[in-house]
Amino acid sequence: MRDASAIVTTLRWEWFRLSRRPGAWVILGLSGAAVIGALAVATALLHLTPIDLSIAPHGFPLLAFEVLSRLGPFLGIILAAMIFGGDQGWGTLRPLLARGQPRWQLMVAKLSLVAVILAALWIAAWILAAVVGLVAGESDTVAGELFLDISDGWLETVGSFAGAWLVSIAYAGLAALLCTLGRSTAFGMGAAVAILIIEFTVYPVAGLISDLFLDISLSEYVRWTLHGTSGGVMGRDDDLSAWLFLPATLAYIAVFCALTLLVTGRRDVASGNG
Amino acid sequence: MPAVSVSGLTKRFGRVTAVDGVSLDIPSGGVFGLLGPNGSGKTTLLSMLSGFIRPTDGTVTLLGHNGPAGHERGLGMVGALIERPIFWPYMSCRDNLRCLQGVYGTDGGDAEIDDLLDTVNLGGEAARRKFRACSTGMKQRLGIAATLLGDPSLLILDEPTNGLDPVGIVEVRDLIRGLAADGRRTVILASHLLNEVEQVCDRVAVMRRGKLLYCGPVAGMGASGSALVRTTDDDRADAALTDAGWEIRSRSEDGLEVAVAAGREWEISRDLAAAEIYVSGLRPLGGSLEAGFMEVTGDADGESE
Repeated sequence: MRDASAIVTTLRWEWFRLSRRPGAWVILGLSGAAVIGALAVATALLHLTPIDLSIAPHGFPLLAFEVLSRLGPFLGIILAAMIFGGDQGWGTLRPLLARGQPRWQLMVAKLSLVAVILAALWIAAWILAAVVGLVAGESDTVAGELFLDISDGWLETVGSFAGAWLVSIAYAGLAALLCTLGRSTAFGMGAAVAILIIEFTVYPVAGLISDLFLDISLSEYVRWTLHGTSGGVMGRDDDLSAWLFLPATLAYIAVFCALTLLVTGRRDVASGNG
Repeated sequence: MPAVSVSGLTKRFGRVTAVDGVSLDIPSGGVFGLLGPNGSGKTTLLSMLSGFIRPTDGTVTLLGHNGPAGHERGLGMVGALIERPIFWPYMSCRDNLRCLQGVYGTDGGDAEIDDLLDTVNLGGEAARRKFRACSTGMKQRLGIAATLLGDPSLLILDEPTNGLDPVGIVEVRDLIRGLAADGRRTVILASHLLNEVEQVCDRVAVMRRGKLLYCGPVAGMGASGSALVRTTDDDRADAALTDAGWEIRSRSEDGLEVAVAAGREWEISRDLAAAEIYVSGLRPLGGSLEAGFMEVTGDADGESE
């Protein structure tokens, strides 16, 4: 109980520091703007253009999901780099730990803050999209119009958002680990984004080449990579259910977090470069 | 009970031994100095006391607490400023202290922050200045203020007057003396400045190449100083002082160099007067602590670091 209380207190002051960094608000603002922009474009298409199109109310959260699921990994990486890398680079882990707070408590508080911020953003985006959907969406097909019923219902949209949230936490865990290993925001963020981009580009290209020239389907081999698991838990795997990818995604998160805790716990606390 | 007790404390970085089997008791109350040339292991020793660096070997007992969990408990009553003041550059001095106050769980509120900022002369506009925009002296003062959050029983200050102007140095020395004046708080002060240690500290430890060379009263460090004595008859003076038990280190046209503890030069004059030899000049050679420090660390013999 005392540990939980200490973690909550530490989390509160982690937020105090993050909230004073303009960069954090810029990143969160841009993410919010992307979601709002997507919803605005969809609404405009429905009502302000001559296109014969209607979208079911629960289709709007899915539009927001399409945006957030692509931004989420980057957002997780940037937030984790700010929360973990800053203290590593400036050496401010020292004042934080100077009064004997166990290192694991500090790390758990930092990881929790990333998860809470991402959850708040995802929930806000879902609520906004749902409200827009209820106001602007159309449940019934109008004769002659193209009806986009792109999900099975509200529950499916919640599942998709939860999957995207977990994926962003997995990438945040990767960035936290890399920032801790490199003792630098720039290294952690750069390496994590590089891994993300390589996954997004190399796997599809390699898959195409192996399909065309080697007659081998690469999807079986990349399915349980971080990229494959992320897509799977967000329902983008053609063969397997999203539920099957949940344990693998949680395992990735657990491994990244455990390694971050292990490295922090065993290593000397450096005085940074600042 | 000593405030700090270390036994066989060792830290190796690869093949380099930064601290080599140091055993030391630092008594409660007063100001304890830690002296040593660059690279002698002072900061590494203080970093191990503060829990930032894990010892390769040996034990630390902090305010009666030992073992890993005990050390963490002991650190709850320790304020430490090691190497340089480290804060969040994008926050103001006041917000930095507020944040640390919250993290440390001290309950002094805004009154404590205001008191500490006033104590280190960082009140008013300076308190609102971002840390990255502060001068070196302001940063150092903020570092000292942070160590005082929650009124800790033990302060570990690593060269706290670095970057301060002469007025600031005097203020900080007065502050350190004041902090330890009531005897309920212990201050460990690492410094390169011998006169600072001489002025502020009651006891001192001297390190070189990771080893502890001396630990005892500051006055004891200067015991092997010397003085240059000129007399009306250096031949007779040499014989008289030797007969009286003084060590004559050298003799030149300038006079006799006699080994003598700082502040006891008058005894040479007394013995020469008793032998009816008149002193025409008597000059202590080097600072009292400086001479002792050089001798203890081996530099007096021309040994290089």
